[in-house]
Amino acid sequence: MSVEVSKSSLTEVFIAHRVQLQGLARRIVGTIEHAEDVVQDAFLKIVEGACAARVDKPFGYCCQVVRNMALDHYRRQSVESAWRTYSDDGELPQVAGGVVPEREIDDRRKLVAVDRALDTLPRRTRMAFELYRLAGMTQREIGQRLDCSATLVNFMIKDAMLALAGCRRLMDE
Amino acid sequence: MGDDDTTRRQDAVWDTAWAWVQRQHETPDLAEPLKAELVRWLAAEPRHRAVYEEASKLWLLSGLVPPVNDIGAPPDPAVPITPSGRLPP
Repeated sequence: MSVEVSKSSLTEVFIAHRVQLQGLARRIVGTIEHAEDVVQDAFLKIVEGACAARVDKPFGYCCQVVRNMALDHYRRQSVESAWRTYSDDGELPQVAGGVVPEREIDDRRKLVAVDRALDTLPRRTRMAFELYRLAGMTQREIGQRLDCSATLVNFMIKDAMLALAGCRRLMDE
Repeated sequence: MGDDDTTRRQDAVWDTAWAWVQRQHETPDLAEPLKAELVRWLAAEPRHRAVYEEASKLWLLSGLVPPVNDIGAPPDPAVPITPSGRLPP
């Protein structure tokens, strides 16, 4: 059962644990400078607060946001540096870094849409996906945790990925 | 019909981009040959880059939704930091 967590208490938790969160980011992205960028972007996501009402564990959620923003940053940088080696004009289309009010509303709406898409899945399928996406487990580990075959896990992940891909149209907006 | 062909091509681009995003989730540090393959694919057409960006945004969002289940915390750190894996300063 979720305890209602206000957006302001979530931001308070974030600020109170800023150093720890920056450490988490740094372990993923490698430098303090990049970690600082990640923490700032993560804070903005928290402030946008689409799913804040459903957060059981505020610090856990702050870690989740920081970790995923850091991984995205890492992936983006590593692909783009390879890209720049490949091509002089090399730049992938940029995700807007600055916060614009319209974009805040977009993100909130998109998060709700993704949540709803995942909610169309059977409970165990969503569990498998969350273990995969958020808890960093391999499909094999998920099979052990859920006491089912690796094949079934593979099907469940595929189903979740399909449900998620259904939100694709929203990303254009 | 031309429209069907276009749709099929667009779906194929999305499927490829989505598969890359998933691959990178499972192995954040792609082996060099794989990474070269991704970069080649991205270089091939602007549309590939745009759709990869779309797929990446969607994947990121899927990681920002709080879990409904009790799944525990992921291991820390997420990415093995090797000398070759460090980002440029």
